[in-house]
Amino acid sequence: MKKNIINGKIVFFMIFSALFVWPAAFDASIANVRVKIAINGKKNITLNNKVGDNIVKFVSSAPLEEIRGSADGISGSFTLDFDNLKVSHGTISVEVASMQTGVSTRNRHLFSDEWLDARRYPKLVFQLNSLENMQIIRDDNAVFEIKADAVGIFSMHGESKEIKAPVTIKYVKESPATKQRADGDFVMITGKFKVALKDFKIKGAGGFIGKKVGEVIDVELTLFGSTAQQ
Amino acid sequence: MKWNILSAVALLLLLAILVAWMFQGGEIYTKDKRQIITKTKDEIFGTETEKVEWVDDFRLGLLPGGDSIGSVLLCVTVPGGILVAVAVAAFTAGRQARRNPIISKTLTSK
Repeated sequence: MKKNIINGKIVFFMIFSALFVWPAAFDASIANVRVKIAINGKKNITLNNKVGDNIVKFVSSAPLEEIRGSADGISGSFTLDFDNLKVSHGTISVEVASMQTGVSTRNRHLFSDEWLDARRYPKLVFQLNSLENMQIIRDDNAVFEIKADAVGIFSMHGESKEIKAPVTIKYVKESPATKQRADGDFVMITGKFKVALKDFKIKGAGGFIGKKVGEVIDVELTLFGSTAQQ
Repeated sequence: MKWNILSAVALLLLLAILVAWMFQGGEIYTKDKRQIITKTKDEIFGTETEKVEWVDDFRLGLLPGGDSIGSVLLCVTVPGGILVAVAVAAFTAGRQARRNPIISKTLTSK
């Protein structure tokens, strides 16, 4: 009888901890990533080419050709909240006219109303709404680095869609070395995501998509910013 | 004889275009710019960063890179097709000339 009571207590403890204690601990570990680096509160970061070359590269793989292009007309700002990184937010935009594919005529086609329609929709915009699945890579006195999923709304060709892009964010505190480049703390963001053209109602010219242009475009971005006001 | 020379010249030009295309990378579409990616070690971020530049660099492609008349001619298939047609026509004309020397002479004299 006594043995049954003890077994019952053990079972109750296991069920209780499975239901309440472990999920709470797990949730705390990802939702409230607390950093050792001596940074507190919100940091407003503005993209800055003095810190590094902001670039977006894209690859279209189709049976007839692989198109490698890039865009450098990138601007934007975002806020990292070091008290609760999950609620980080901001907006990054890329000028369609800055996109280059290596063939002048193809660039003109890309900007035309059959493709990205640069006249009506001159910018591709990513609105960062939150960071999820954060994982600290490095956290010391000078550098803080995390991997996370940047969740937000990507807008292109007048259409918007929620995307989740895996990113690496590296935050470097201001130092004599950084001051030689620009003022403020530095941030570098790298990330990759895929864009399906049909999600943004891009139909292209007569049967190009799937033959000469990939149905899904691989996008890779490298962004640099600083906390200094420009 | 003149037809054979014309046919041979057309085929040689075609061969030259094909060799140029192969040496320029065998691109499918004619390109006028090349992407140069320079990788450097960034001491501040402790990682490798890339600088992407585009430089003017014409490379002949199998198919035209544009839709203007100039662009259409700057590829392998369009001038190549014309040269093949010229070579075939010259070869055929030469053969007919050999079969009918009188007609050929009359046409030549006219």
